[in-house]
Amino acid sequence: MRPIAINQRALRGAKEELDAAREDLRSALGDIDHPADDFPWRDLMVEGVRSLVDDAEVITRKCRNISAAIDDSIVDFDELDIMVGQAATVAAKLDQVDPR
Amino acid sequence: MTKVLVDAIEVQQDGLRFGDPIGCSYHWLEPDRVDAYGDSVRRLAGKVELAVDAFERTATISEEVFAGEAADALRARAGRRHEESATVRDNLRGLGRAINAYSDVLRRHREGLEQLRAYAAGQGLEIRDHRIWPPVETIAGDAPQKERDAWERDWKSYQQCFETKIELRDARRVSTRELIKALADYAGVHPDKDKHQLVAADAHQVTFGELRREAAEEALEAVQAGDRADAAQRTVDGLKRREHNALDHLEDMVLAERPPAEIQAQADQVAAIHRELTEARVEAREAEAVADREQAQANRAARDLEDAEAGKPRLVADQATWEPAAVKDFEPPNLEDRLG
Repeated sequence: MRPIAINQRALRGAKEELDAAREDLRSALGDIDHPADDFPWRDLMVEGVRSLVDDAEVITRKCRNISAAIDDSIVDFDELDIMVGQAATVAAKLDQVDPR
Repeated sequence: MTKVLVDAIEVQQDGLRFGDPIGCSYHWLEPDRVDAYGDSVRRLAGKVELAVDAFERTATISEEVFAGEAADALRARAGRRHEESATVRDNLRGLGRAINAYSDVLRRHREGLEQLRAYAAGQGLEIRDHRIWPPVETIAGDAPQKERDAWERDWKSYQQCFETKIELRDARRVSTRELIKALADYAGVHPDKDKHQLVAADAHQVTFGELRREAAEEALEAVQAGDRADAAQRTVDGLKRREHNALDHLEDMVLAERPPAEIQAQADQVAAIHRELTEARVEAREAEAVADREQAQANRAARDLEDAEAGKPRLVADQATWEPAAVKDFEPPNLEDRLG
């Protein structure tokens, strides 16, 4: 396994950007006002726009998934810090063992 | 699967015959509002752009910030999402622009109709209910020459109006092709020429295919992560046994009062194994967390797919209730003609 290096602030920044993009996008989804009055090819046009709006909605879900994955990583590394600390304590105690 | 009937307005416009009253008023949605609709689609593209950038940022997180297999997996996933969302952004932009352009088509059509009406009024044709009416069909053979000339002139004017109206319709249809093409290219909806119906199926098919691919991908990732976690745990177990044996051995040596140098060597070995064990535990813990996460994602993806598939019968039922009515009430016209 490769060594792990981590900059939590940069990771959190990426996560926040994803969260902000998701919020913005989600509120914009409701701003699309499909025309009700008739004109040639309205039905097909609305059908097409709706399908793209659905695609955009899927993206909000994907933003959340990736954001959650980053979140999990950040928590992992907090735990890792604690574990490394515990390991150091154990190692220090072991050094004090007098074999004689 | 959603199906949309052939465009009713186009069918109605096909019905115009020489001698019919000619509609000369624009009664569809205001072109400005169609334009605004296109703008709102492009604004949504702008918001998707934010997600595109955010995915890109995650996909390009540097090794200094985040390294290891979990980091690589995250980058790869974010990279895929980046590409997908960039496609959605481009589609929204493309369709938004096509809708904007289409509003100009409608605007030109409206202007054309206004000119047509002005021309008909100038020629003295009867305009009633927003329509230009044809002159009387016949005139008595013994009518004075002056009346016969007027009658002939009126018919010529009417003919001119009729031809102009057909030209306006055909010009609008030619310009509509761009919109139809954009709808097919960007949104995957298109008029189905064989069935004479508009079929908007691609988007849903893609969604299903996408969900399946996603579920399979997530499941594979979960299995791989699970394997890695098991392997890491086996390493930990092995090291634990070795440490235990080495400690026992050390204890025996101390009790047997072996030479200090020998005891020191054994103690060093115990310490080395312990350090190795500590590292292995950390790795195992991490591998387990990754496996849990991947499993949760795989479960989510499987649930999404299941939900979508459970929704299928409902969609099929929609289709079934729709079809008989359409077949009964509707004689499909020739589409090629309709598209100019």
